Amino acid sequence: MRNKVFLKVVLITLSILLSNGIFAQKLITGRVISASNGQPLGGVNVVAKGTTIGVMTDGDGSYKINVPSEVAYLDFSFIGYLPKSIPINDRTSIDVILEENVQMLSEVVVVGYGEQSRSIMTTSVSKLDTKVLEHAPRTNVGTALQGTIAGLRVTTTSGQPGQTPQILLRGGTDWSGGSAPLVIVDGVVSSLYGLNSEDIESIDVLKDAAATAIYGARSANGVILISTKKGKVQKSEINYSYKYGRNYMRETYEYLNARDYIYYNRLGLMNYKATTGKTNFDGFATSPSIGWGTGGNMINSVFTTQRVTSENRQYLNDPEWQWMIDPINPNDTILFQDRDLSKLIYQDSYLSDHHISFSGGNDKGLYSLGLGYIYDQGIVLGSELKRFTANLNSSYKLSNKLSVNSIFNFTHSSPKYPYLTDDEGSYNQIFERAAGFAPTARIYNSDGSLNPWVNTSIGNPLYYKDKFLRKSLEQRITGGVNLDYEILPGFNLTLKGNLFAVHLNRESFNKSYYSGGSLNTARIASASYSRSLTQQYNVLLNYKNTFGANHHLNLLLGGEYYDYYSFYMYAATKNSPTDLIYTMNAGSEASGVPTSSTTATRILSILGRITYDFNTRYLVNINFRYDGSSKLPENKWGFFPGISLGWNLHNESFFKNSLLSRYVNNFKPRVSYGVNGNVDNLSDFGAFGGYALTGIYNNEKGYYNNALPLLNLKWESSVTFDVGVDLGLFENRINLIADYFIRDIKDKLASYNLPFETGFSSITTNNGVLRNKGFELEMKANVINKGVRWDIGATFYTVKNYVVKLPDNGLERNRQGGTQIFDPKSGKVVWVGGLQEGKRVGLDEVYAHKMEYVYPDDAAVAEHATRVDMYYPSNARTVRFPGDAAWLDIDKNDTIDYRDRIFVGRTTPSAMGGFTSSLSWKNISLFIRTDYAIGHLIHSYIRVRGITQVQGSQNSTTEVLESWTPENRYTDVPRFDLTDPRYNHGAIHQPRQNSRYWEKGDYLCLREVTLSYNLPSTILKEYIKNLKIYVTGSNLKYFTKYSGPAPEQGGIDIGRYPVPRVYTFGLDVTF
Amino acid sequence: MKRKLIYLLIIVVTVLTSCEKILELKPESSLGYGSFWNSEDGAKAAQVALHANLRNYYSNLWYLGEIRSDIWGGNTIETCFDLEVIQQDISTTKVPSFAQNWAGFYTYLHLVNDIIKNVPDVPFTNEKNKNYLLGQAYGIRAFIYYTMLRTWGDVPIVLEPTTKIDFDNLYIPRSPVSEVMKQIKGDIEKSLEYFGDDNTFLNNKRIYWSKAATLTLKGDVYIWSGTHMNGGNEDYITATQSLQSVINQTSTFQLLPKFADVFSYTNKNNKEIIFALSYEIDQASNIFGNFTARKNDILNLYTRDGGTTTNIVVNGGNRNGPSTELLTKWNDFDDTRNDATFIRLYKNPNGTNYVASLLRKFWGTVNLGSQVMADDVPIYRFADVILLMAEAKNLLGEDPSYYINLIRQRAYGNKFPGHEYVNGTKEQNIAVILDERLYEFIAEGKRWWDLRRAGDNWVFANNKYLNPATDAYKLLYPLTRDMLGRNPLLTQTPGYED
Repeated sequence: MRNKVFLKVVLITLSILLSNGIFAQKLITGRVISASNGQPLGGVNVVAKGTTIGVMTDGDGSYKINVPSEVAYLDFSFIGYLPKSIPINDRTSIDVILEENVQMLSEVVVVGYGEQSRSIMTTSVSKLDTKVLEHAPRTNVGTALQGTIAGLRVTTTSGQPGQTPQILLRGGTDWSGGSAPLVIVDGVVSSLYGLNSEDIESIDVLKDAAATAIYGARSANGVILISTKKGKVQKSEINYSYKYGRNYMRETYEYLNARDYIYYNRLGLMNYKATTGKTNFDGFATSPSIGWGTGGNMINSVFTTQRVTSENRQYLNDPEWQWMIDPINPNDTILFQDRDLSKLIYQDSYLSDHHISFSGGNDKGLYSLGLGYIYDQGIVLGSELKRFTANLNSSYKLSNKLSVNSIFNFTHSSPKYPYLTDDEGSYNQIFERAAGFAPTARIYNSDGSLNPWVNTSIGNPLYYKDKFLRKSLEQRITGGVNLDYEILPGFNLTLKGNLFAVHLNRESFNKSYYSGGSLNTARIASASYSRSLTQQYNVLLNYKNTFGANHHLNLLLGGEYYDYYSFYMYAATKNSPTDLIYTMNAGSEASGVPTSSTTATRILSILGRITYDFNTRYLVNINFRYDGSSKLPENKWGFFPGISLGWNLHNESFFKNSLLSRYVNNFKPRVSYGVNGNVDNLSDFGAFGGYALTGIYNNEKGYYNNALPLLNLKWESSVTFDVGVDLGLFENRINLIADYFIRDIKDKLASYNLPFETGFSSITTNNGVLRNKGFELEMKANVINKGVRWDIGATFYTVKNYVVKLPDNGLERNRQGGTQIFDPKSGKVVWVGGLQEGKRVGLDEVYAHKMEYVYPDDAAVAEHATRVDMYYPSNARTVRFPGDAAWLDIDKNDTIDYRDRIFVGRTTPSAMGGFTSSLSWKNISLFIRTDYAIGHLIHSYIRVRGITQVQGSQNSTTEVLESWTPENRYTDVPRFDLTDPRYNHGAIHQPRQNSRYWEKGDYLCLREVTLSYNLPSTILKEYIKNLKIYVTGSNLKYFTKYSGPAPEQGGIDIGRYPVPRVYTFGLDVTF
Repeated sequence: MKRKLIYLLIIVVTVLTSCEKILELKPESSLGYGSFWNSEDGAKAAQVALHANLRNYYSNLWYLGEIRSDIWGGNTIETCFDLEVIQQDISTTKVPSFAQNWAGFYTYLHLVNDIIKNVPDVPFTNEKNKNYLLGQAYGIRAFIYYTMLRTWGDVPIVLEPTTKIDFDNLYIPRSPVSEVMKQIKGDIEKSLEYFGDDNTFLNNKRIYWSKAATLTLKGDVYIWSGTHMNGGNEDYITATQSLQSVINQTSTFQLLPKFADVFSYTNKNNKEIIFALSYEIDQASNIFGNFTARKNDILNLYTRDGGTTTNIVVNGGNRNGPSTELLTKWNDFDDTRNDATFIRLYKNPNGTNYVASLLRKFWGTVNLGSQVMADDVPIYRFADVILLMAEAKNLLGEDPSYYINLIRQRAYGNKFPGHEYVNGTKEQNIAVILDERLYEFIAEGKRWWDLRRAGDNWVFANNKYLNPATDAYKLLYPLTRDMLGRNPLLTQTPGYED
């Protein structure tokens, strides 16, 4: 059998060599152009039908071919175009127009180190519909992937302009559900941050290991391949686009007004006293430091709340002031002001985005230059982004055999983060504390100056907004050169060198400011600088040929060297004489100790790929990569292969003749298996063990062992098995791509929790086997195509993570972590959550107590007179009061303790996806995009902190109005007690949580609606090729039941920067 | 052909081996594991770490030693912290954070054990310095285990640094308290052996562990074992001998004439200090920020003598306040320690309508308009030695009044006449010594240990939240479910099993 194949190959080779001169020949010349734009097409395969004789068109689309006289047809084929077979009919000149194949199932897909038509692809790769990039303004390209790529979970975690969303492929390869895909821009390992979406030609996402194996190390989480725009032959163009948008805040919590705030908090104090017997908060009622305490004054106290006395009695009729009877002491009257503070943190906000591009080329060279400038003012005080981008792609043919390509990308961005925050970190001081501050607080003092409130962490946004100067400047430069040399016909050698440099400069200065009543004049000025350089060099050898008429073979062999080095430094001074100079030179002494540090990592690789198809019917793809990483001490090398097979059933004659072919015109089942390596979870030198620096002690620093050497660590490998099908129905009016995958992450590099007695709470180890199992579906359909064209698209994706294997640690199911609850089914106390062999990964599981009802009155309380509650004070565990929560006693032992918790749900979504609709009629089109995620729970700390009043002065949402009072006994909101000492509500840091505060985060987001109009060419003068105007609404609405403004991310919401609603006007003109 | 193949093989092998070299990166900004213990410099860096990292545990040490006593839980301006612990509401559901995960002590013990294991093999130019470091390490290890013994009773004994994770020998059970005590006493002897006759302080500063610290610890430990572990007089005598050798160093250790000077920011490293942890501006701040207040919360309040708060610069929080019982009991303002410990604040200038107190100890200095908590905090000071001596003498049936009066004389200054203590019964003496220690060491992390060392009945007598009939088990802390879940050999502290 093997001999036969060998013989065949030899014969084919011979026939190629001998083909010249044996038969009668005829020379045919011609040109191939594209139907869509009339441009010549280079690289088109021209084959004399039924022979092995073939040539390619050159840069201006011309070809010359000698064909034997008996050949009747010429076959023209080109990636992304419908193939054509043209009868020769004695002609010697044949010009051909190829039509673009716009269907999803035959689109051109960028794969590792090359591109492929989907029609012969066997792996799981998704391509972004670039319509998404056309209109809506975006400061980060990652947001375009939301709901548009099945298998990606994209979560916008912040409305900060420029912020990269959280992106996760197929459930993530971490136990905790983390790890971001590798981003490659024009062949260079890079990132999404700073890319201008106008410069982007295409985005492809490699999902299964057979596709990503060629990227080996770090590709286990998928690869996002981004290509920027290239010039086109004989098509010189200047394009200018402009977008102007207004940003609007989202609807947020409804807080109590001052009257209700004072009333309920004073009631809460009485409830606290009555239920705990403690008097330690009594002072709060008259305190000047508490929003509902009556210690305020008329001049400059933080809170306006005060008792009516002879001195302030005249304000009772002042419209600026309100009064009420003190619920604690009905003989007293309280005077106060009511201010809505929740919107002080926002600012009027807009964005403007300019982009101009120049592109063109001839048969020798191509170029494309894009220049962009964007300004996006965030909706929160102090936040903004200014960014300049330049992107240049050029290529030149030095000779018939040698061509050179270069890429250059430059991003200069200066983001500013909301006042009080240095970066995209914790927002709770803004969204939880400042926005939810006591409505009785004073914004302006009587002399017109701003009242700073308590201190920086509970501060007046208007006062603090300009106190902390933060500047940051980031420059990213990508440069690369690519030499392509045709050694022999079919053999191409490519040498690549790429650099990716990031320079980040931060400066900060604290002006003098009031905090806690004293003036802080430290005036700390600091600057930090970090730079990183990624170098990547490749040698690639490519061999491409067609044997016989039907054997298409493509071989790739290459090597890669990857080197990353980064440097960081920081210094600070203090005691500057004025607020006017923000740089360190004005400081008179050092603040802290200056520091600098470096880190580095390297990867060496050998890679290869074999693509073969027979007559575009049987498809085979083999990938491999051999990687060595500097992060691993001993087992540096790993081998990662991938193989995939596909079968274009629709090309089989039996299928064509079958009845099915009337409805199904594209049917390609495919299967793939592949292995990826991953060492991302290891820090650069994390496996080598070492001694870390201590704090400074008496002007000295010490070293102590904080990491053990982990010499026997090995590559984490993820093995993906993927079965999929590409379906085209009803003349490809409906296209479907579906995939089912099982991905086993073996030797998972993860931290393993140790007994504390070892001196380490955890170490990194090859910790078990994690499995992702899921299903993906992408669908595109043309619903109407008669004058009006209506296309719809949908993606759906679901994934679950399982624990397959864990290191043997002597515990049942080799459990790691977790918690114990009573399981009513087995009647036993069981371990749940954490990691347990054979179960789903439980790290995102939520367990909390279930409140059955609120005790309405003493009679109801008496029913549980013997019930012990372990969360109550140890001397009064059976004492409860009307208004307390009645907890579900799962084990029926009349004791409420940790065992009586229920499984509430998970913090990660179970399914997500999106829908698009594109409707066009003549020159008008309407585009709608939505995305959704379901199944994740969110604990809103803002809501819970308000209703537990653990801070003391914080405002609460209006939910408090429904809480139990003697007048409002039948309710599902427990009594409002100061600090919630009985954990009826349970803030996340308290010992007991109430499941009612874990809300469903399910949402459907109306992400984009665009109405656009192309001016008819009859109106345009000849020097304007195209003019389009449009209006877009972005992030218009979340359809969700979640109480907060940002439902996308599960888990604890301590205050999030919500994405703004944006209304944009846009203009796009091409000359 | 064969030869060509061999050449090819050689080339491939050379390329691959050079590849291996390319992948051998060395960190530039951190120390590798293998190279650390080769030099005296490394050992000296470990000596700094021994103290710098002990400082990280001060908060836990403090809470374990004081919060459950009768000192705190009174009025505060902001919502008070630790109320549940103060009220002894402790269970497996409510294990206070400072007592979780063995208070993190095993992480620190790893460092100490690393020193004890490796330093003997490090070449030192002066052998004396090596021994001194080992004396410190053994002394501190004894101190940590003593703290753990007093907190949990039985605890796992770990004497070697972890060098690798061996899944077969991962779990260590709790050792009985007697074993732990034996280990502590052994370490104390090792420490004294290594210190030899070296009574100096490292860098001449009392912020490093010294022989005197081990001697004081020894006194402390032997009184405990005398009372709690049937050591009796033999242990008390050992304690007095050890304490006496500190007292004998009259030029090194003295009671300062003024109580407040012991804590003065400008008077660090004074003769009263035996061992303190160092806090400096820009280096570290101590934990007492929450015992002060925010400036604007005290603006309109008055001090005890009717003074205003205008000149008090504070910017911490007011989260821990002295208990009403303490304030009522200790209204003797002839005792200079009173005003040097608390600034009591009132709504009215005539000293009525008490609001809250600021802790006057350890509040550092004012730097650029704000308060910096940069005071050293003592672990042992000379007054401690004096009063431990009083304790030991009394337990031996001797008259402790000399030592009590030394402390009182300093406390009352020229108002001392009339406050002299005259020897009473053993029980009376204990009560007086406990009171004296209370007033002397407020906020120094001592009171809970003092009551415990005196005997369980003294804990119950001084704590209204603990009932001897039902709460005896609470003198020790429970383990968290997480601790038990990670180590199947651990058993819950008796009384807490659920």
